[in-house]
Amino acid sequence: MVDPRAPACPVASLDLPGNAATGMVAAAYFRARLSMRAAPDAAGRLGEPLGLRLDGRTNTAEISASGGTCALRLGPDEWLLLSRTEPPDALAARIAATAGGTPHALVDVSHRHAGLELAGPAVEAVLASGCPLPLGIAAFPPGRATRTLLAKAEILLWRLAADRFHIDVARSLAPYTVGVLREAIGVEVAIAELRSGQ
Amino acid sequence: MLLIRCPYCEEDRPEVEFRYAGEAHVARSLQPSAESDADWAQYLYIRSSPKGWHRERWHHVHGCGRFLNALRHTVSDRIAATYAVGAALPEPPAPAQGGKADA
Amino acid sequence: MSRPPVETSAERFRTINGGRIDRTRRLSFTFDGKPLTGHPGDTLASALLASGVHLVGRSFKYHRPRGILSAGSEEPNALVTVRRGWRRATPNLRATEVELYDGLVAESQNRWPSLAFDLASVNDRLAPLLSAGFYYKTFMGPRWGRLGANGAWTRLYEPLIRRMAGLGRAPLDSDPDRYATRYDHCDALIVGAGPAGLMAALAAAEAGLSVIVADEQAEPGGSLLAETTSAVHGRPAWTWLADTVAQLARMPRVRLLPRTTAFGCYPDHLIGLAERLGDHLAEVPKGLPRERLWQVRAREVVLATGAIERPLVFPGNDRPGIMLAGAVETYLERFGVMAGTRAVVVTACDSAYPIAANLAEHGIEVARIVELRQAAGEAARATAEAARLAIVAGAEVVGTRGRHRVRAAEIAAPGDRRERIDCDLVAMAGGFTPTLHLFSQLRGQLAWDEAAGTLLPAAAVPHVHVAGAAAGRSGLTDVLESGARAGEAAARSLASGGASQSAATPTRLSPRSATSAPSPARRRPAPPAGRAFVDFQNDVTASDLALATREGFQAIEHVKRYTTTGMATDQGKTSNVNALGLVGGLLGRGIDAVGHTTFRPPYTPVTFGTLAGEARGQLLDPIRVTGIDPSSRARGAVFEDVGQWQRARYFPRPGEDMHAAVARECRTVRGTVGVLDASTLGKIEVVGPGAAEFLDRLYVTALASLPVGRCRYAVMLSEAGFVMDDGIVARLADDRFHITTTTGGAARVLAHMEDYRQTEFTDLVCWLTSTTEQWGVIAVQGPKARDVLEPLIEGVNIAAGALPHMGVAEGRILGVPMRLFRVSFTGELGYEVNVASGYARDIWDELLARSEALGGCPYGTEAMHVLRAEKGFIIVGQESDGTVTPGDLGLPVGKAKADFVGKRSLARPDMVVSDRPQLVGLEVAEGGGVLEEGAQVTQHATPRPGTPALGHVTSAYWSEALRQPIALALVKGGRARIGETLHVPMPDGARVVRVVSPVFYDPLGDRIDG
Repeated sequence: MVDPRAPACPVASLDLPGNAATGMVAAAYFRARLSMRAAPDAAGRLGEPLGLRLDGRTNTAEISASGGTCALRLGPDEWLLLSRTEPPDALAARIAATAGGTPHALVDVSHRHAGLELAGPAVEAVLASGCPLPLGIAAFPPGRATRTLLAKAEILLWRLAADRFHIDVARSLAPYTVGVLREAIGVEVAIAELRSGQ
Repeated sequence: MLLIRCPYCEEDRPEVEFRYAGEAHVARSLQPSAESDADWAQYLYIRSSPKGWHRERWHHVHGCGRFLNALRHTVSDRIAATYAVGAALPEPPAPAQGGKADA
Repeated sequence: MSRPPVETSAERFRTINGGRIDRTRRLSFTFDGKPLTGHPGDTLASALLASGVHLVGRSFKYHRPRGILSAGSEEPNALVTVRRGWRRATPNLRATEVELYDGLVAESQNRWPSLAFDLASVNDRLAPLLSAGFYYKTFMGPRWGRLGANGAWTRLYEPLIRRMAGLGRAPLDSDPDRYATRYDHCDALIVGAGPAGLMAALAAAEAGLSVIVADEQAEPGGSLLAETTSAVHGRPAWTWLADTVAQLARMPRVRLLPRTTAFGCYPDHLIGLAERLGDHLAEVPKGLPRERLWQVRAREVVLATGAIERPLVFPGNDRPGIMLAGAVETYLERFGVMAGTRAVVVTACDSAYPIAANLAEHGIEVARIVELRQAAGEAARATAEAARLAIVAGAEVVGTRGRHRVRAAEIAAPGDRRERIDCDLVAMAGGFTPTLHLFSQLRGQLAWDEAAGTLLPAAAVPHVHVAGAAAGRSGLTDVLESGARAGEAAARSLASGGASQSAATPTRLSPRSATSAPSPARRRPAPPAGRAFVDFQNDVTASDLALATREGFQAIEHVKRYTTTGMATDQGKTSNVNALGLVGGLLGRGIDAVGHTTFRPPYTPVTFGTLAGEARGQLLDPIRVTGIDPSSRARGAVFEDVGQWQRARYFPRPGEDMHAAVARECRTVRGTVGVLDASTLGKIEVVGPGAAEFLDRLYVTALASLPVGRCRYAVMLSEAGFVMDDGIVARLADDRFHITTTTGGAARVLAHMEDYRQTEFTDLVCWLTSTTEQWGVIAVQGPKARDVLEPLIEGVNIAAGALPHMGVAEGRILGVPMRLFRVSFTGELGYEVNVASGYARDIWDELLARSEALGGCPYGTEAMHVLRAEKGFIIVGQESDGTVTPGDLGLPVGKAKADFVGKRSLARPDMVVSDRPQLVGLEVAEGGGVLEEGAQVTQHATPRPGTPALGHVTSAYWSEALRQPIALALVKGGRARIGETLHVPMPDGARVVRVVSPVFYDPLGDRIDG
C-alpha cells in the first residue's frame, strides 16, 4: 500500500539554493489547497465554518483566528484555502456541511502546486530579477498575495513578512522556478561581494 | 511593456500578465442559427481596426483570471481607461488629447 | 615640408600632471599586439592617444584609415574588438567607452592583413563605383541558371560584399558569461549624472522621491569631468562633484547606477538600462554577471542626457587626428592627454574659442582658427585675441593631407586665397546636438530651432522633464539651474498626477548659447566637393546625399535608407543633423521642412546576453516533467519535447533502436498490456449548477444528457467551426465534471472556456479550475489491463460488464484516492488511473511491476501514436491544422443540439462543399516504406509544376499490427476516393498509395472489451 498521508514533495529532490546574507529557499508544505469559487457576497457564509470572513480585497490573504486556515483571495470570485495540517477532504466537508444551497465550487488542488519559502535580507532584489511587480514594502506589504510571473513561470506570490515570501508554483514548474531563484541569489551574492571588495 | 489597470484587481499590472483578447463588444448572437451567412461572416471575421481609440479585451491570465475591456489608442498605445465586463462604457478623451496622440 | 610620422612610444603625449587618472599606477595593455601602457581612469581611447596612436580602425565601406573622433558613446570610428581569454571576444566596442584595465587586449577591425596595410583599402580608389545605391545599380545579373536574375546576387555578389564590408567578427563560441536581469520601480529616473542630472537627483530626492540615477560613464559627473576651471556653488567643480555624489550615495532612496546606459524607452515609462558590471575589471570575480538588464518603471523621467558635438563636413574630414574640439579638451583635462602638438581649429561656433585658448595654454600650438562664419562672436574674438591666436574668418577647409594621420589642412580664405597649414590635429566645432533620442522614444516631438541651430523639444510630454544641455541650455550656471528645476518639477508632477509640466516646456534660447551654430544648410548651400564625410561609420559622403536628391529622393527617411546615412550602429549621433542640413540645402528647403528621422532603441548597442539575461541553457524556457518522470528516466526512456513538457517517447531495451523498441511496445500493448504516463494531459474541473449546460454549449458533443458515472469523447470547435481541441468529458456528479484536453491545448482551452463563461454564457453559474497538475494519469491498455488493476483497487468493480467502456468511477488504488476512467486511445481494453500527483510515481511503479509480472511493459508516446493511428484516432494539431472541421475528420456532429460554439459556422457555404479535405487512410504499395509526414498527395506520380496537390500526409508510421506502413492523410473529397490509387511524391520518386478507410485495425471495435 501507498501511504496517502505521505505524498511525494515535488521539491524534495531539488537542491534548494540559499545564502544567509541574501536569501534562503526552503520547501513549504501545505496539506490542503482548495480552490473555492463563489459569488463575492456568498463567500462570507462559506468561510464561516473555517473562521474566515472572506471579505478582504482581491490579492490579499486572510488568516483564521485560530491560525489553522488561510484564504488567499486571488480573484473577485476565487479564494485559495490553505491548511498545513487538515486534509483537503475534511476541509471541504466542513464547508459543504453549512453551504446549503449557496452555489459554489470546491476543487481539491492540494497536489497542483509546490510551495517554496524565500527568506532573507535581499528577498526583494532576488524576486525582482524575474517578477515585474513593484515589491517594495509599501507597494507589496505583508499579507498581500497575488498570481504573477517569475521569469517565465506563473507563480503565486504571498508576502509573509518584510523579509519572507511564500511562492506557490505549479508542480512541474518547480525545478525551473528554483533554478531562477538560484541564479538570482547567485547574482546578488556576486554583486554584493564585488561591492564589498571595492 | 504597457501598464494595464485591472478593474478587478483595482491596480496597475504589467502587460506580461495579460493576453490580448481581440476587439471588445463583439457580442455573439443569442440565436446564431438565425443569422444570415453574411451577418455571421461579419461577426466572425470583420473587426473595426481603427486608427485611433479602440475598445478591446485583455485577459488577466497570470493575475485574477478575468477578461476586461480597455480603451486603447492604436497609434500612441495609450490606454485611457479599463473597465469591467458589463460596466458603463467610458468615453475616449477629448479630441485635443486624442489628436495629440494621433500626431 | 611634411613632418616625420609621429613615433608611438610610452605615453609621450601625457601631460605632466592633471586629469582624473591615477598616475601612481600603470596599466599594461596591447593594441594589435603592441604593448602599451596607461593608468586607472583611462579609456582605451585616451590611453592610445597618450601613446600617440591615432590610427585605430578602417572604415566600413572604403576601408579608409580612421582615428578617434570623440570622447564618448557617440564615437563612430574607433571601434575595436576586446579579447579576454580565448573564449571571450567582444567586437565593435567604442574605444572611447572601453575602460582600461591591466592586461586588456584590443584589436582593430575590418582590415587585412594589418591596420596600416589593408588590402581592401583599394575600395577607396573604387569609390566612384561605390556611391549611394551602388547595391541596386551594380549587382544586376547575369542570370544564373534556375536561380534567375537573383542568382548572381545570392551566389556571387552578396558573399563577396559580406566579406569586404562589415565591422568586427562575432565570436563563434557560445558566450561563457553570466547575465542578469532586474525589474525596478521608482518615482524619478534621472538619465545622465552630469551637472544637470545631479542637480535634478538632489532636488527630487530632497522632495522625498525615490530616485534612480543612471549614467553611461564609469563615474558620475558628465561634462564636469573635463571641467577644471569653473566653480560650482562656490566650490571647485571636482570638489562639488565629489561632495554631491557622496551626498546622493548617503540618501537611502537614491540608487546610483554608473556604467549604465539608458538605451530605450518603452510604453508607460518602462526604461531599459544596460549596466556593465564586469567588463572594466582586470580580474572578473567568478559568478559576477558581466552585464545586467534593468527594466525600470519610472513615474517621472528626467532626461539630463547632455549634448553631442557635431563634426564639420569638409573634404578629407575623416583622417585620424581630426577630432571634435570638445573631445580634444576632454582628453586634455580629464585624461591628461594631448591629442596633438600643432592644431588647426575649424569652427562654426563660439564654443571652440575657449577650447583653442586652453589648448594653447597647455602647450598645444594652435596654428590657426579657421572660422567658417564671416565673424565669430565678440567674446570669442576677445578670447582669441587674449591668447594671441590667429583667426582666418569666412574661410573653409578644402582638403586635408596625411595617410594614417592628418599632416596638413588646406584652407581657402576669402578671395580664394589657398593655404596649406601643417598640423597633426584638427579640432572641429560644428555646434551641439542635444541628445534627445530618449525624449523622442517617449513620443516627444522635436522641432528645428533656428536660433539654436538644432532640434529641440517642441512640446511637453507628461511626466518627462528635459534638463541641461539636452534642453538646449549652455553655461554651467544655466545647466545646474535647469537640472534643479527639472527635479523640482518631477516632484510637483508626481504630487499632482502629471498636471505640472514646467521643465519640459522648451525655452527660446539665447543666441549666445553654446548650441548656437548656423545650420549647415544656411552656411553652405551646396555640398562641398571631394570626399567630405557626413556619416563616418557608414562611409556616407556629402556627394552621396547630393546624388540621392538628384535621383529624386526627397523625403529624409528615403534619403536615409538609400544612402544609409545614420543607419550604422552609432545611429548617426554625430551625423544626423549635418545630413538634415545638407539635404535641406540641396532641396532648397529650410531644415525645419526636411523633418528628421526616427530615433529607435537602443541608444548604444546592447549585447544579446544582456537581453537574454538568465534565459539560457536550462532556464531558456521552463522544462516541465511529470511526477512519474524519475521512474521513466531510471528505466532509460528516450524523451521528446511536447511543448514545454518532456515526455517519455519509448523505453529501449539493450540492443534496441527506436524502431525495434516501438514495435515491441506496440506488440505488447495489443497482445498483453502496457502502461503509459499520460499525466501531461490537460485537465479542467467544471463545477456548478450550470456546468452541464455550459459544457453542452462549448463542445460539439452532446453533454447535458451525459449520465453521472459516464464519459464521452468530446470535440471543441473555435467559433469559426474549426477543430480546436478534443478530450474526454466525465460526469462525476450532477454539478461536477472532469474534462481532459490535449497536452499542448490545456492553457488555450481553459482561456477559451473562461472567455465564454465570463463574457457570453453569463446566464450559467459554473466555475473552471485547472487540475492538470493535480492529477497524475497512468494509462493501462491491453487485453490484460483488467488483470493488472483488479487486485490493486478498491471501491470500484471493474469486472467484465461492471464498468463499461466510457465509464468513470471514484475509488482507491493501493489506499490512495483514485478517479478511474475506462477509456481507450489504443482500441484495446483500457483504463486511465488518475491519482493525486504526489502519489503518481509510487502508483506507477506498482502498476508497472504488476504489468511486467503479467508480461506487459511501459510504452511511450511513439507507440501511443502508432496504436492510435492504427485505429484512425486523430491528434489535434497533427490531423487538424486550424482549417479542419469535424466533418473533414469524419467526426459526428449532432444535429439535435440547437447551438454550440462553432455550429453556425459549420453551415457556411465554404464548409459544406464536397471537395473539402477529408481524413482517409493511405496504404503504401509494396516496398514503399513509411511516408514522410507533410508529404503532398497528388493524382499523378510526376505532376506538372503548378498542379495543386490533392492533400497531404498527416501521420505516417510502421504498423506492427498490420506489418505494413500506414498513413493518415487529408485528401480533397477523400471519402469518395476510397479505393483510388494516388501518389505521394518524395525526393527519391513518388510512392503509389491506395486510399482506404482511416481505421486500419479492428474496424468493428471488438477488442475494446478485452
